[in-house]
Amino acid sequence: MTTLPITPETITRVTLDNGIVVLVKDNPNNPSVTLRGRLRAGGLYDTDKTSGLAYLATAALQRGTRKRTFQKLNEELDRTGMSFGVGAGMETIWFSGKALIEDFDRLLDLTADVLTHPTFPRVETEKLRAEILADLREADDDTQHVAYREFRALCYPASHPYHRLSDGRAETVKRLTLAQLADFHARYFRPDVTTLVVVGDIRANQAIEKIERALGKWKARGKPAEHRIPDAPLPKQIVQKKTPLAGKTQADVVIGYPGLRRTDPDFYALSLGELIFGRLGLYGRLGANVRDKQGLAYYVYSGVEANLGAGPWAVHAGVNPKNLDRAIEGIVAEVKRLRAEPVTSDELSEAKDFVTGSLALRLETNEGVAGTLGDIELFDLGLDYLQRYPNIIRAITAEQILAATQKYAQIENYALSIAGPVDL
Amino acid sequence: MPQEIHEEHLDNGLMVLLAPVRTAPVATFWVWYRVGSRNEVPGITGVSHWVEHMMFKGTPTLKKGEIMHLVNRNGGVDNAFTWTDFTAYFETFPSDRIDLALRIESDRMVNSLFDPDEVASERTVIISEREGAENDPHFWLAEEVGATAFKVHPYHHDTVGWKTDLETMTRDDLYRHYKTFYAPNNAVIVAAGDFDVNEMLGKIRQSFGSIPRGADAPQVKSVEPPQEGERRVLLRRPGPTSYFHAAYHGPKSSDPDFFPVFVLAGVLAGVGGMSFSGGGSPGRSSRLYRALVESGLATGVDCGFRPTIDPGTIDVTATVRPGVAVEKVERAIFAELEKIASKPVTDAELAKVHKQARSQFVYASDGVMNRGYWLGELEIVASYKMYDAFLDGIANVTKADVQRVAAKYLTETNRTVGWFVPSGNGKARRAAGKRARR
Repeated sequence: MTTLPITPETITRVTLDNGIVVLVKDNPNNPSVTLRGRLRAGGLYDTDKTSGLAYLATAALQRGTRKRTFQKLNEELDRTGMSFGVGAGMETIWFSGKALIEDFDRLLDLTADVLTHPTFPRVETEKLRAEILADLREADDDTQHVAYREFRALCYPASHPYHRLSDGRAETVKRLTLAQLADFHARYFRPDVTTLVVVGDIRANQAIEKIERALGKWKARGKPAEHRIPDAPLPKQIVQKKTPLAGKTQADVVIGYPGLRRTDPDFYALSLGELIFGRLGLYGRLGANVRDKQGLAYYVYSGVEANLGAGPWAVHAGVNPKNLDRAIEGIVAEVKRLRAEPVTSDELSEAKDFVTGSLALRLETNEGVAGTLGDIELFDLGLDYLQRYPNIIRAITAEQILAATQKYAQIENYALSIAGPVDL
Repeated sequence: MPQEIHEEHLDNGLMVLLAPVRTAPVATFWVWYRVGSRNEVPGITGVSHWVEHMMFKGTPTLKKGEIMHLVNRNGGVDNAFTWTDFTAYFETFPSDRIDLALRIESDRMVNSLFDPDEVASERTVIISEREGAENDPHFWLAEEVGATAFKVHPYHHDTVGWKTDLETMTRDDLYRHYKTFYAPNNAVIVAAGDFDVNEMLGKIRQSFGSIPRGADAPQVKSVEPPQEGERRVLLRRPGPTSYFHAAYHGPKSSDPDFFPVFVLAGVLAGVGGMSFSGGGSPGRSSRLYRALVESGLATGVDCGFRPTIDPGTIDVTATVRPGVAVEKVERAIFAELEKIASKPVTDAELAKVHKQARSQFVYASDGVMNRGYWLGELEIVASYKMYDAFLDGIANVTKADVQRVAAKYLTETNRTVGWFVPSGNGKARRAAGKRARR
């Protein structure tokens, strides 16, 4: 355990006076620095009429700032070989950057400028809007995307943020005004909802000093908006939707129900069960049965999106239309089995060995460490989390998995979305 | 950043590259076979990729599924992929478990079973992989352009293979391909990570040393003749917008023109990512981005150039903004390409590409997986020695070099131009392109 890169002793965590939480991990092995940040804000504040507001407003930050035009900012990134991006998800806004260590000051200056002083210039923002509208149009033609988007709409009621995706819809994105974008920024971009992770070839005290210099003057007024994803009711019946798209060969399928929050006590039991069900090795039991034994799909896997809110637990599959019914039957049969009997001790020990053993692999790059640190902070897991993790996992029993599965895996009532060829 | 690399050759012809990197308790073990869709003939296109799938289906000692259980049990990850020039397999483990990778790879190098029932059930999986790709307009256009740019050389077809070949290929076709190309003398081992070099070498000798040398693999003799005039393809299929793709025959990776073209592509669209996981400079100050995206003609543009064994292509691709005629995008792209061939790039542009390349190189050196990937790919397409020479190779490129290779390769007679134009009806047409398949 001494080799874990994240422990209370190896990570410096401070809260700046303005509320920004900073986490630093010094890694002298690569002369670069990785920066990852999050704000507790996002598409959850969008309404049906403003769907896509957080997404467009956040993407527009890079289109012009007090110190930099869009062109100047692009020139600076390309001249230094840095990368920087910022975007809005449903429940958090993320930003990330990468630079050679010699350019760290510049990366911080640019980050601060983008986060705190965007100007939303008309010409550049309109170009961005046109690009997003074109992206939405391409997404409308993408069977995987359409299947997932419609699944979310079936799975969550219209009043729930997860009913929609954060990138919005063409008809709402077209109508958003520059004033709405500026207002979104003014309201939700605040230091006291911001976390910043730095991993790279820099001493922690130096990094903190530099961050303080770049972002210390950023001040928040009043209290932050409430940041909460409401509970999601489980579906009361089978709801399904088929979306035909011209010129397609394969059907993409998403089938599932709302899952749980990352902070839910059932999280570990459900994720281990789900790992065995649809991820371990080549897509778990699903892969063994639906892909390998029956040869029905190139991909079939499951995923639990346990976030601040209860994201979906869903199975995703790509299937030839003539195999559609058999593939769905095969998936449903595996869900039934998972609910009916405990996982075997062999399966359970393999899943436990995998998640505890592979920890080192997930932490071998700066990006891996930064991502893990970001999650530890977002879900309030504590800097000793990785030290505690093996014991948390080892304590899970097959009975706990069965109970969690029976609670969340709805076999009578689920949402099913299919997008594919016209003659589905 | 020069790194410690040890090169060894076993008596059976197996090449071994060892890169000790002791920054994390992790090691990665790769076997690269010098076989890919480049080594395929009509009737069995896609065979290399399918063989890769069969390598997970069992040997007499490691039954189907056991490889996966071994990897999981020991906290590892594994995968494999096939491209035009190679088929690669890897396992990454906590370093005290890396012996397992040697056991798995030495076994399946020669002992994979190719059970006829397994071949049969994998056929639908393989076809399904192709059909998933067919849902994407980019796949159709790239496949069509590749098939038009290469008449003679097997870069003609996509790694996944033509559907009719996937429907008719037999178990014997697959097994013959395996027996022909999977042998120590046609493979390169790359290990990177937390291990002692001598100890690792001893283990490799023990696991792989007794595998007999195979017959020399047949060489690819086809040479693409020079193109003597522009070729054009038009695809009309249902789709959300138009796409543009121009492919210019370019230099192979061992050609002295490789680095100048690499820089040329960087000036045009930014230096691409060099790591296993992608990345790349944003390139939004590049010539093509400014002329195409900033001007509102396209929503995305790129210039792709990858190292290949035989001469591949320099690919300029764009997503046409809905409502804009694809002709306009084409004219703007050609104007930029003519400009770079007729006037030297600026010092600032050259400096920008140098810095981007250095950054991407450093980013791609973070972690053992990236290291294993890079060394293996470079050894297959040219030589692993290119790794240490890479940044110097780029730094030595002059403005005159860039202009010279632009004028040499980006010509009208040397290009294949493809348009994907959305149609109202769902009539599908056969089409090709090249990308790594898992």
